[in-house]
Amino acid sequence: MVFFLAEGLGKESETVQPGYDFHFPADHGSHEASRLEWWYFTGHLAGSGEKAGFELTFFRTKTGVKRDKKKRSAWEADTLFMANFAITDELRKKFRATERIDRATLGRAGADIGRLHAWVGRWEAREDQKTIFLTAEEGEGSEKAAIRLFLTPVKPPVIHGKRGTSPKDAQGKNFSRYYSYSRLTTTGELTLGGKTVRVTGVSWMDHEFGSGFLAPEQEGWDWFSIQVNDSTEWMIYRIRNRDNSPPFSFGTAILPDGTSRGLSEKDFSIRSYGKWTSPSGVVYPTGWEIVIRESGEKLRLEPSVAGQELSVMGGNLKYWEGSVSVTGSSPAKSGVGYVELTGYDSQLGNLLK
Amino acid sequence: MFYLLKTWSFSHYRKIRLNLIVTLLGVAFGVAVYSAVGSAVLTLRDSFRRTVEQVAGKGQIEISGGEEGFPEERLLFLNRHPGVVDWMPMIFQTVGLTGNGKEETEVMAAGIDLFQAGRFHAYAIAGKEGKTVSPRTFLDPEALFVSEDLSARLGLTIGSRVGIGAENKQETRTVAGILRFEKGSAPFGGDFILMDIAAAQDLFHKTGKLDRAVLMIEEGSAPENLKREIASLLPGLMVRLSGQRTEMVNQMLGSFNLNLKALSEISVLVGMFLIFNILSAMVVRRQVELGILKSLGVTGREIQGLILLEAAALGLIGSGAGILLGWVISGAVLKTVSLTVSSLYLKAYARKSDFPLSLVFESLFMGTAVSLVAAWFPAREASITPPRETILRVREIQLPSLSWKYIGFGGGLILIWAILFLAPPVRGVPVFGYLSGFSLLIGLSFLIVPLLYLVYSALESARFKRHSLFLRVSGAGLFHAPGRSAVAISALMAAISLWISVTVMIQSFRSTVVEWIHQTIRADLVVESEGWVSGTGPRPFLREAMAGEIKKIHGVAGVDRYREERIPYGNEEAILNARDLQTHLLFSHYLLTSGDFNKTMGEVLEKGEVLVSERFSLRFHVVKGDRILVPTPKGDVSFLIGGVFYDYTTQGGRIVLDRSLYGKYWNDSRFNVLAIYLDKRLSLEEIRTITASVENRAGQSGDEQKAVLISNREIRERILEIFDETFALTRALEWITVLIALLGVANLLILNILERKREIGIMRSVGFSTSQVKRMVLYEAGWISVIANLLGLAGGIGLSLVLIYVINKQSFQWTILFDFSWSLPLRVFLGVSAAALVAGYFAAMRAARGAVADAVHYE
Repeated sequence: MVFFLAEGLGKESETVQPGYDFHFPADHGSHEASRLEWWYFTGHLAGSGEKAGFELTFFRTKTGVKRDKKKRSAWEADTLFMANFAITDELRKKFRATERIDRATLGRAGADIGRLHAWVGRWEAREDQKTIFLTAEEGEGSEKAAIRLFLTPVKPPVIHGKRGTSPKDAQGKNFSRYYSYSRLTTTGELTLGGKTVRVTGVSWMDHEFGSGFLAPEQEGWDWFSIQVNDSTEWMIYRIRNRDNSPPFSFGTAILPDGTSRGLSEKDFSIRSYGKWTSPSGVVYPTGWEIVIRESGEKLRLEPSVAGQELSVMGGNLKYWEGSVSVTGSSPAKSGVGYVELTGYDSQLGNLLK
Repeated sequence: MFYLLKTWSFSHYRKIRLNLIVTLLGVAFGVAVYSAVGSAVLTLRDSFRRTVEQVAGKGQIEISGGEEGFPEERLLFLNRHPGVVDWMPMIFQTVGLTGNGKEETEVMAAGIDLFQAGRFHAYAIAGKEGKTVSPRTFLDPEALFVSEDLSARLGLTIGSRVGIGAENKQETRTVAGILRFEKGSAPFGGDFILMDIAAAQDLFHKTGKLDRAVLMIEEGSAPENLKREIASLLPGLMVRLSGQRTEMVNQMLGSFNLNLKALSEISVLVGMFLIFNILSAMVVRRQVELGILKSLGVTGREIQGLILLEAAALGLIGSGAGILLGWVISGAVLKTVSLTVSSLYLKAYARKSDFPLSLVFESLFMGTAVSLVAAWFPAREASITPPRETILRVREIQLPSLSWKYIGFGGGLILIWAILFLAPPVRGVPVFGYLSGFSLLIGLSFLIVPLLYLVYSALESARFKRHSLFLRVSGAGLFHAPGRSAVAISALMAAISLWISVTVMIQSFRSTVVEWIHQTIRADLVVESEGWVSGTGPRPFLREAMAGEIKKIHGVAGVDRYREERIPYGNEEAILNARDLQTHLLFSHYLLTSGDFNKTMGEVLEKGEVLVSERFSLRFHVVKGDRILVPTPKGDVSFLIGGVFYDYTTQGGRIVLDRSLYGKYWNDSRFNVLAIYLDKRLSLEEIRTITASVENRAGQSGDEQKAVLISNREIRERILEIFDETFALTRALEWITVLIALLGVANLLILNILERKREIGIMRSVGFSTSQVKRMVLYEAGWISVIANLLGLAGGIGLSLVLIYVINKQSFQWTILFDFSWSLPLRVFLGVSAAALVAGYFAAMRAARGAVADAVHYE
């Protein structure tokens, strides 16, 4: 994702204009006018002595290659898809992630327009009859990890920001179209270490598209999705600046009845209390205390495994994205979450220059 | 025993230093050839295997089409096919690479889906400062990735500009990454560059086409079943398991390798003859001492062990030197073998020869084992002679006798030769052919003693008795130890047989090809795209309008548009030719295995049949009148075989059909070669004018392809050039074997004199003059030469029949017409006799020089 944001910067003049009416299921599909788009699934699974977090994401980006369909090879692609598949084995404290990149030509990778269906090779997310089917696998034998999951939304999609616009800075120059299914009940199969078990759980889906996300002075973001047992969810993020000036913060609270409320920086605070250095030398914050001021909730987020760093673009870019446990004031206010930390890898800075 | 070897044996061998050196040289040459050929065979086999493995990577099923490739759309169903995890598209093209001002190198360029490279293949793509290349680079049509070997050889680094020459066009690309393979595992011997499939399709004008694809399949799915299922969905394409390609390559090269190895083994076996000679001589020479050793309590078994130990030492030293020499020449041998393999089978990429430790041991073992076998009889002889006899030098003189047992054995083995001649190959290997040749040589060896008897009796006969006591005496050395003489003669005979048979085989093959060229290559002028005849890659096309333009030139009687392409056939490949058969019928010829050419061609044309080459017919077990299924873009089409013709241009089988059929099923009217037939009544001057205007037309190549004009003579010469190149190594091996055999003859004569020092001394003391002694020795050399040549001639002819009608036919499916000229055995006889006489002369000088008193002091 980081890569695509960097790629998208300043290369095309097209920007998303404020004001957008979402229509479903059409808006689950691809928005090819936007330079960047992603479908993002995370979740927490349990069953038959296994407990795991999963992540399956599909990113679409324009490559800038202008295709001349008459003469050129069909493999010359104006659009690329990148998919990440990660499993956090919470019992054995193991994390594994794989990426696949393919071009949106000859059926190798793509996303349908008008319905939810995105794929890279055999990895795919597809909605049929209001149920989203996810499948991905990698490795062989005892190294094999795979998911085959069916996700059913419990609540309607929640659109972040006002009038379909999710802001990325205080001035409102950069923004995206962004909605989530904040709670999907999940059933299916999980293969870990070559062994397949039936699992159930809860998932989260994001779908976001746009053309200009980050301003040049911004270096990355910390993003949180939180699902607690009383069926409340929060999506919050802060976009950090290079000069260490106060970040831009934004969020949405989704209530048990499915209604939602926008959160601005005065509505919540985020404090991290630990550091984790990845084997590649990138230092990430780890462990957070999040206070939701309007409801007075104090949530403590703890990574289920410290090392959940993803290395993408052939190892050229790194970011942290992983499953966390959430402890609130009561069991009802405790639950699970996913956290994404980008821009801690200096490579991103280089790319942005 | 080792003490004896060190103190006693060495002192004796020192005295015959020259013979020792010759013997060691003989062993060394044989082992050198054996190890160098072994190294070349090994290197090539490994190189092909590595290439196949690296290309397939984790792919378990492979799909390939013919030379022209196949439309990529045909594979798109694989994106969603059950059991298929992923598939990798591939195109290949041989290109000339230039960079850093270095000379152009021919390399294999592959275009693949670079985004999937990491999933399929095991190499790393290193970018600047060794970091992983960003996948975005893959989309850059300028980006080129070169193997580490090439980058080192051409001094290429990230950002270097390189020239790529393909199909007579020169393009420039930038090195964007270095391909790092595990040590020694790079495909195509490291002569390898990689591009993204998109860039490669554009560069090589293969838009929409693929040459190959490999499939990664789901764990737990049965590859064989999936292969069959996919094959049924892809008629006309070759679908096979990845391992099968290695198997196919091995099978294809199997016969070639086997024949090469067999030839190199013979040179080691001929070396055996030298060991036998020197050890026999040393046993005789040390008879007294051996007797003393025995009387001192050394057992026969120990004596035998000692002699064998000497043999082992000789074998080890000779082999050691041979391995060193083999290592030195292995590069040159590899180059020659690669050239042959490339022109016969498929392009061989191997730059550096492998010389693994296992080969060193194998060669050491081979040389030593052969020495031990050769030493067995002399060692046994030394061990069983009672001490009294050895000390007193009482040795019964055995005269040759008319042993019916020997004649029976010999005759029987020769009969076996004839019977095995008819036996079919075992899994494509002419096992019985080799056995047949072997039994012929052994059979002939058994006839040596009876032959010696005949010569001896003739000399003993009244007529000679009266005139030539001298003649009789001169044969004494030969006739008084017929067993040993027989072994020596049989070794020389084997070398002569080999010399004659290989020469006859090559000569027959060559004259068959010459005759075939004469009969079938009749076009007066040929226009071809540059480098067509010797090229191994896909053939470029000629400008289509050229055919019409040239046909209009006054004096041009006919034009044949010739198209050649490799197509999948069954699980193998075949060559498909489309040509104007009517023109071919009018002006040229096919040598058919049966049937009249004009009648056959008339039927083929009328009924839309095809012709197949003899090799195709034998390889795929089809004959005239059978139907074959030929893959076409419109699906498999069944054609009737109208005739089978001889073809010597390629290892692959060939299918020939008329252009009208090709147009109908392939919907393609392009051609690679134009065969032009001129009016026969033209004057030389007119021909010159026509040639100039054809050249002018051909020169207008448009943007597609550079065309060149060549004459009939040039084509014929080029075919023969390739032929000669192919047999260069065979000839070299043959010469080395002959050289070893001649060394053996020289050694034998010299040793024989040493052995008979006493006898010669007696002759001198009873009045033989030194010149008579000299003459006697020379006569003896002459006798050996005559007998070996007589039998060698028989063996040579017999072996050449085996080579031509059994081994070659079964291994390579080539029909060769036997061509034997008497000048060959004459040349061989002169060569062998000259060597024998030169060696005999030295031996004679030595014999004459010996002091009489010294020699006979015991008497």
